[in-house]
Amino acid sequence: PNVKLVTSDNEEFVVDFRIAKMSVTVSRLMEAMNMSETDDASLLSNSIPLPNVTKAVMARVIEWCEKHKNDEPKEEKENDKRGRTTHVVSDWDKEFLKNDEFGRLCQLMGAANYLEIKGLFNDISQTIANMIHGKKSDEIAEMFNIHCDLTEAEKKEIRKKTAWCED
Amino acid sequence: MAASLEGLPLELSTQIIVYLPLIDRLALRICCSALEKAVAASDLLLPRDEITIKRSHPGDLSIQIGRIRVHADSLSELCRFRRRIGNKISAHELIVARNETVDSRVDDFLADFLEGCEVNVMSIHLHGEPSRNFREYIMQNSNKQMWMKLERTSLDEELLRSFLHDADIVFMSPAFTISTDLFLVLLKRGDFIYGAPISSVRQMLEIAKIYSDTARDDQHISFGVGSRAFNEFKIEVAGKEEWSWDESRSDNNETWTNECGVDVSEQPESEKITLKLHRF
Repeated sequence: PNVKLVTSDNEEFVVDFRIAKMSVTVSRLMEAMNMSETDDASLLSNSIPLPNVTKAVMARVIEWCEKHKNDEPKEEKENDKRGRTTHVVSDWDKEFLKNDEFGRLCQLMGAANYLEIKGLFNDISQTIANMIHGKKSDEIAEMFNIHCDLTEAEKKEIRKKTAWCED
Repeated sequence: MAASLEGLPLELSTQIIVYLPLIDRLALRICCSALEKAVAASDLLLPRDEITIKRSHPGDLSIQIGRIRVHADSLSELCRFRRRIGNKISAHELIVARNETVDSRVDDFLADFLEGCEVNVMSIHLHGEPSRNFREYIMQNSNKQMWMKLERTSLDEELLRSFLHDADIVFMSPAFTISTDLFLVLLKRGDFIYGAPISSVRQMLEIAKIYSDTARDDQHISFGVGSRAFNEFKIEVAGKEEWSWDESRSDNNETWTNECGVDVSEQPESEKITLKLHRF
């Protein structure tokens, strides 16, 4: 059975019921609209409006879900050798996300959050964290084009208060 | 959706920061005020790391969180810093090392610092009475795995009884004795008890009997008693069939065993005579 999803720019996506169920938000909406896997009429006569997701982002979300539709549920957060909390991003997922510029990653992350697709959300969070990891503040600011609203005096004060932290 | 790190809603930026270790958080804080706030609002998860606290001088606290050592002369500054590096801090173990001097003000700051910190194991060396707030913090964490060393502190029966899991309790130079009733509670909970301060050899024998009946095979217990105690013990058990001198022991300690599988030995290296019970 298929489910119809409608994006904010009125694009309709017809997806497999299993893929639709990967989103907690969509699952809840289907339940509220009495749409069930065994009732084709309910699926054909209804569509799920997703006003917070655009066509372009929805296509990416569906691509990710297609790849992961048969995944076993897993413990999401693991720890690396130094005890740092990490989420293991699979090779396929790294490849999937590697060409997305930061702006698109943010859009995808916002959609994953809205749709409540935890695996995708954690993949993106970890990918962005990896971009930050090991960099100095000015390198982070440059990489993400951050407009710093702190005055030099405020920065100095923050540095002074953390000067006694030794790695 | 704002396509900038600092423009991300807090619910998203905090989920990115949760994957960052402390050193990266410190760098991120200086980028802009929005990220400084996001760092403070995100949880710091260090599931294999320890938080180690040392209270070496009056009014001084030295803290290590994972691999980062934090020193500050001002206790209030430390607590302010704590609030800015993460909302909830989860680590594997909290280690509160022996403090040289009793300073309830430092204890209170410690309780304040640890608010919102969650650990699986708590290893605490109490040297002197803990402050009311710090004691409360320990009680609030009675569901954790406890390792506690008590030195120059009074017997806080309520605290010792509050632990929900078997604990390791070390009694160092205590100025009190523990009742058989309390001992029984600790024993039944499965605690490892070292240097248990008891009043007499008679009480020790009573406990040895209970131990024989109830303790786990790997549950170790030792008693701290006065120097005459071992001789008293020997007089007490002389001629009793259930106790015998164990000549087969390879160490130099004089050891007596009983038929219930309890082993009592003299530990001459200790200042006091330590009577140690363990199954063999």
